[in-house]
Amino acid sequence: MIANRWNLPDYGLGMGLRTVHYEHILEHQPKVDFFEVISEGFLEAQGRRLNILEQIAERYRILIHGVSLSVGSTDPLNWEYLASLKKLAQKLRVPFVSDHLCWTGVLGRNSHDLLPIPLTEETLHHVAGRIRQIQDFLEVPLALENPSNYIEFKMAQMDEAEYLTRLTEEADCGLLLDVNNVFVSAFNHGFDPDDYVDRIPVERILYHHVAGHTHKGTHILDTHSDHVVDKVWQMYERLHERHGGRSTMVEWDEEIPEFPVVHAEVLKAQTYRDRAEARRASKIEA
Amino acid sequence: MASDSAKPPLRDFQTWMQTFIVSPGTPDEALRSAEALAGLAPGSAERLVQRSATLDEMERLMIYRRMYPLRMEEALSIDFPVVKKLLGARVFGRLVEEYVEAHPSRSWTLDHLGQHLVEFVEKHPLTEDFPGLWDLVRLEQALCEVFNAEDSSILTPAALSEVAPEQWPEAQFETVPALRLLRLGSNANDLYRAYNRDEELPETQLGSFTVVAWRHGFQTWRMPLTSQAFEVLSLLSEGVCLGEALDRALREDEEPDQVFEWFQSWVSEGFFRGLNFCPSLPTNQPVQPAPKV
Repeated sequence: MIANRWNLPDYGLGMGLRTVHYEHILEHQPKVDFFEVISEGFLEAQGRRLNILEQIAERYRILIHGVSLSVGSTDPLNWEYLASLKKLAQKLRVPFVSDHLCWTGVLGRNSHDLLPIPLTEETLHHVAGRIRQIQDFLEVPLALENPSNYIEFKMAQMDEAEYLTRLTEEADCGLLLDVNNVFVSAFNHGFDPDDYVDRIPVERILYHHVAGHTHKGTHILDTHSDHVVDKVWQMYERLHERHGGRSTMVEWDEEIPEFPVVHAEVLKAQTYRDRAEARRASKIEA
Repeated sequence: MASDSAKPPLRDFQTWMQTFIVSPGTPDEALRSAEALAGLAPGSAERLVQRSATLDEMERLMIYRRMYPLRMEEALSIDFPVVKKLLGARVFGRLVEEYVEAHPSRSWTLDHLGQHLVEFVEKHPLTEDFPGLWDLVRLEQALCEVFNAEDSSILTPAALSEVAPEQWPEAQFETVPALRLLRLGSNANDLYRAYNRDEELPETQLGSFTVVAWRHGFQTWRMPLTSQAFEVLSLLSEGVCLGEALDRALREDEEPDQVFEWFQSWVSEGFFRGLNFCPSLPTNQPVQPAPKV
């Protein structure tokens, strides 16, 4: 395995902890390497939500993934939010915290959407500076996720692969590479997804997401509402062949099926990891 | 004054994009609002957005603009499902649009998005066509608050058994944070019950209805109360001592047994977390609550 910058281990194959699966997980205790929770759902959790999290955290590793860090916003960082996030991260003893390369609002509002950042020198330095502050405060690495995008801006000075490469270096942060998001943005913007994954610095990757999406004909929406498509699995395999193993989670957030269906999708990842491993081994022998 | 029209500062760009996404009205109106607020010259979409092979500038922007109200509506549908059922999806969608324009989310979580809906709906014209609407919003908001309220220890029957009979009139109860008392002007609780049973919502009936909502065993519950029981519980939740609460709330013909039954129910359901005694008694020792179960 090519080590990541922090020498964090590969935590295996996980899935999102979703309300509809709580009872199944507690009753059957399925074999899952970790569960990922959406941080914002648990920052103020009380009652049943907190109780479920505590029960599951007793049996499984938990990773946390946020949607409201708004690292690209020009509003000040929300230190109250960050303090709650740090508390949750410490309580669950997570090895890193993840969120998205995006902004969610400005002027004090939160659109609760992952809005795109123009890929310019100005924004790169702006975001890198904020990441450094966040990491210093959280005292764990931040893994930023490439969001799925539906829009590009004429002011862009570089493509996303270059932006992420430079950003992770300048901010010294990690990368959550969502393979489906690469596929979605590649279709929407017309770039080659294989070229993108080949250019990403694997030593910065701490974590992968894979998911299904919805093809609208003119564009693809990142809906997390279906099985992972073959091409995304192939890209995942290609990445695995480069780095040899990163924690991976299957996202399924809309029209969520029964637990075994999502679980089977998680286990499918192992097939692609095995194939990539076999190729890596044969290369080493050669 | 318009800033550099092709490459505005990030702050102006974000003001522009957000305003376009969240502004009511037609897309053209929203774009004009966005340009005005961000200080950008007209024609901003064409100047800033790259066309794709399949979508033009406005079509690409519209993907984000269309998702915003859907996301807000989804969040409020989770917290106010019976309100949505009562109004129907179309009217509910319009209400949400108006509401989030007046009270946009300023929180990292959507859990609090509906926290101003009670005050927003109170004087809304929809209450003329739906006279039970405000009560239903109040009930569903109370259930959200109960769900999200902080955990606390609860007072158990065993702890209460230590109270000497002569101390009871001076007993001062502290209710748990996850408890709300609602005096409603319509049968909102009946509508909620019907929805939960997957039945047609009954007709709204106006009148005086009293309900308690609480959380127990990690679940939220509702229960209608008689007006006397409601009055006693309200006074206790305000810190009034039991003797005075009973004097003020009960008719002379009220049976003591009935009061005892109320208390049995309230304690077993975990309505109280602490017990003190009013200062007039010498035995002003707090009874320790039992550990949380």
